[in-house]
Amino acid sequence: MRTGTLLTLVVLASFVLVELVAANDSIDVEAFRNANLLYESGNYEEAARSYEHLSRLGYQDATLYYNLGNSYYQMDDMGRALLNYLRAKRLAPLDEDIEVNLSLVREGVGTPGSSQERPISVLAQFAGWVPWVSLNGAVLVALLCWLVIWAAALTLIWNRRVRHSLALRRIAVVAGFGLLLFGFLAVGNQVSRNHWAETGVIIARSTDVLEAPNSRARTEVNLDAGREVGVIETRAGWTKIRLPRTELEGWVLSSDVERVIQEEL
Amino acid sequence: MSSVNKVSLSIAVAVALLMAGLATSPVHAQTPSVTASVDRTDLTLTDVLSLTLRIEGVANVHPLPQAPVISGLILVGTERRSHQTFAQGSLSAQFEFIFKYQPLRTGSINIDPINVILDNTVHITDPITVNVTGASGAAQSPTGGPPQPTSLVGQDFFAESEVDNETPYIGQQITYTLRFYSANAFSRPIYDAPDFAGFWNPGRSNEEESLANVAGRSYRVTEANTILFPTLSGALKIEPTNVSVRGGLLGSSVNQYPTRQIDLNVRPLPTGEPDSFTGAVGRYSISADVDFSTVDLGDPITLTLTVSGEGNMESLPAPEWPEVPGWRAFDNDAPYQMSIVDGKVQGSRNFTRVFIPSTSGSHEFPAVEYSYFDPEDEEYVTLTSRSFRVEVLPDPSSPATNPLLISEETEDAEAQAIRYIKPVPGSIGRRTSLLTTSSIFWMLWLTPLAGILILAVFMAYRKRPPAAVTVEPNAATAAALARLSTAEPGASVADTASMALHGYLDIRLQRATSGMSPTEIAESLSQLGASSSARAALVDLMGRIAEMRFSRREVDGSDEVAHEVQAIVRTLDRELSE
Repeated sequence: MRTGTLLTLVVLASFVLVELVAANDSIDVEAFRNANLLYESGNYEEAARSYEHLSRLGYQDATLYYNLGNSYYQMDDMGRALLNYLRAKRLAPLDEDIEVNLSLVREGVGTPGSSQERPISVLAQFAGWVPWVSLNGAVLVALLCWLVIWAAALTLIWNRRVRHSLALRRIAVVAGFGLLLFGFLAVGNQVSRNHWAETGVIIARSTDVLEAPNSRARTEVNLDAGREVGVIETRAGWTKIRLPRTELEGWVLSSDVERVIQEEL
Repeated sequence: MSSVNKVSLSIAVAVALLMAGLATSPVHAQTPSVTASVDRTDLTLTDVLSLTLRIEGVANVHPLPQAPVISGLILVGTERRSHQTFAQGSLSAQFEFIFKYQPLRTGSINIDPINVILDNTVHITDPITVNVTGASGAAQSPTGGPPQPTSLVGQDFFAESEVDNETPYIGQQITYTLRFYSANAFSRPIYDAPDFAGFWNPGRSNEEESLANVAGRSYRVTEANTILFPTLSGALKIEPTNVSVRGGLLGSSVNQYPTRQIDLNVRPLPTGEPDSFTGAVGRYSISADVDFSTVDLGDPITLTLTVSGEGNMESLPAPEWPEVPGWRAFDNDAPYQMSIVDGKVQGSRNFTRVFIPSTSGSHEFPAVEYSYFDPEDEEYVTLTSRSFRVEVLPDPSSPATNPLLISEETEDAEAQAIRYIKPVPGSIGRRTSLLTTSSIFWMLWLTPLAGILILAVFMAYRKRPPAAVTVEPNAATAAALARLSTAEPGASVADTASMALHGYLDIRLQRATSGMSPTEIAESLSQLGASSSARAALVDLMGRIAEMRFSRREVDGSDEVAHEVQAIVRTLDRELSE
């Protein structure tokens, strides 16, 4: 059992290592702190600009998005506030502060509760229960477990002297559980990622949903800022959206809607 | 033969004789006969004539004869009887079909011959002539009142039907009455009512029984009333109602007594209907009410118009509701209740409409008009309800109308303020490229396959056959030959030859051969492919060398041993290489 425990510790240690490597050590703490000071002094526009700058530098952090959402909320820009709260929620789905502020914004835009929230799959919810495991971390640990399983199996087959080794068998079993767990987490992370990549928020004060990607097309409905929509495709400055829980689809200007996850998958 | 068998045989013979007797019974031997007769040839308009069609000499009658159509007579009833008797060794069957007619005119009426088909043979009765006089008073009118006492002379059953109004207006109530006279206290009539096509039938009919003494005879009179409302104008008819009564012994026969068909001329409603007329026919009164006279903005009120009176409540049309500015209106249910009082359909119906105010203030609800056509007075009547005034209060939840609400909202807003920003985290997450997009990452997952391949190759290498004996044949031969040419000091020719030979075999067989017998060595060489002649030569040579070594003497041909060793080595070398 000592071997199994040792292997479990190794797996966890590797996970922590992966996460630490994934995190950025060269943080611009000073810029973040300055942004917070701007917010506290009531200079919400400058604070938002500073947070946005950090985001453009490649930082992707729940606290960053949360504070950015607060800044937009104070600026009465409910669309961008909602968008950044959703981004924060994606990274920290169990954070109560994020959930409270998100609910307030949703009520403010006239869609209280989660009535407009797009339903998310069970696998993604599973991944959300352990938000500290990133997609990269999960797939790396799963790979490690996979390699350990095969190494143990091949050793058991090849080396007659260790063929009946209990320790090797325990290693293989522990690695198997690790592979299963982190495999599910990886899949859930990916599904969640796809979900958020297909979720957008109307950031314009008001936008017309048109039947076709053409400014002369008939207007189907008009949406106000803060409306959560499903994003189907983007084409030449136009984005095709779908209203949650309805069959209504239409085109809006791409500048009027923004995805929760912007980068390419 | 035992007594039991005797009894059985006797029974069998008796049964056979009985069956033979039955098989040759006179029923089948008789010639069918068909006769027609009437109970009287002189009758009055109020009499009922019974025409009896009697069939004898057949086991059954199929198809059943139909009542003949006789000019001047109308069918008022049918009856069927059958008798079967077994007497003097012959079975006798007799069927009687009795058709009852009532005269429609006076004078001589001919009953034409009746055709009856029996066993594919047509039987024709004789014609009959009856004489009808009007001496006994007025004839029973088919649409008249109850039959006069003299009209029921000689009849046990009689059925008649009528309506109380043969020229009603469309939508006006009429009553269809069916009367059945029965002199038999044990007979229960069964009605086969028509479908009343063209009429709305609420399915309500009452049935009353009474006793009548007619011509000194007591009758039970059953009267059934059905309420009808014509739904079409023009000529309508009510098909005859068939009244069936079981007769004969234990109800073995069924007698039918159809009523006459009733023709009606339904009149359309006259022109000149008022604007508020929506189709109501009858006699009504109205009342209107509203459930609230003061409501908050957005709260509904219900306006109810109750229409009461005589008429078809189930199909009573709704009124023309007035439009009320500043209100949205929605139709609601219209429950009704209906009953029959003194043969008239009465009841009430509540027409309700829900109104929702969209503006506050005082609103006037205009009177509701309701028009109907009164068929009794043959005129349209318009009724008007009272009007209402409803006060609509402003929305209490609106801050504009409730100054107190502003401060409450402010408090709510403060209570619901967003949560404050978070401090700078210890480490800020950075957007990283996904490993799943890297091909190297996915190749790492395939490394176990490479391990499996390497292992498989290695295992195959380890398990390869000992074909390595052929790897260095020249080296073995060279070593053997070299050893022959360089004899060790003090060693005999035999020793040198033995060492050279075993040295060669050690290399070839990959094992020490010094402890093996020549036969064992030969067997091992055999597995490697050495020929039997080479093996025999080797065994012979090894035997001679051993003899030379252990005898410690030079035997004849010892010099040739070295050559023989060279020869056997070369031979084995060649054969094993192949």
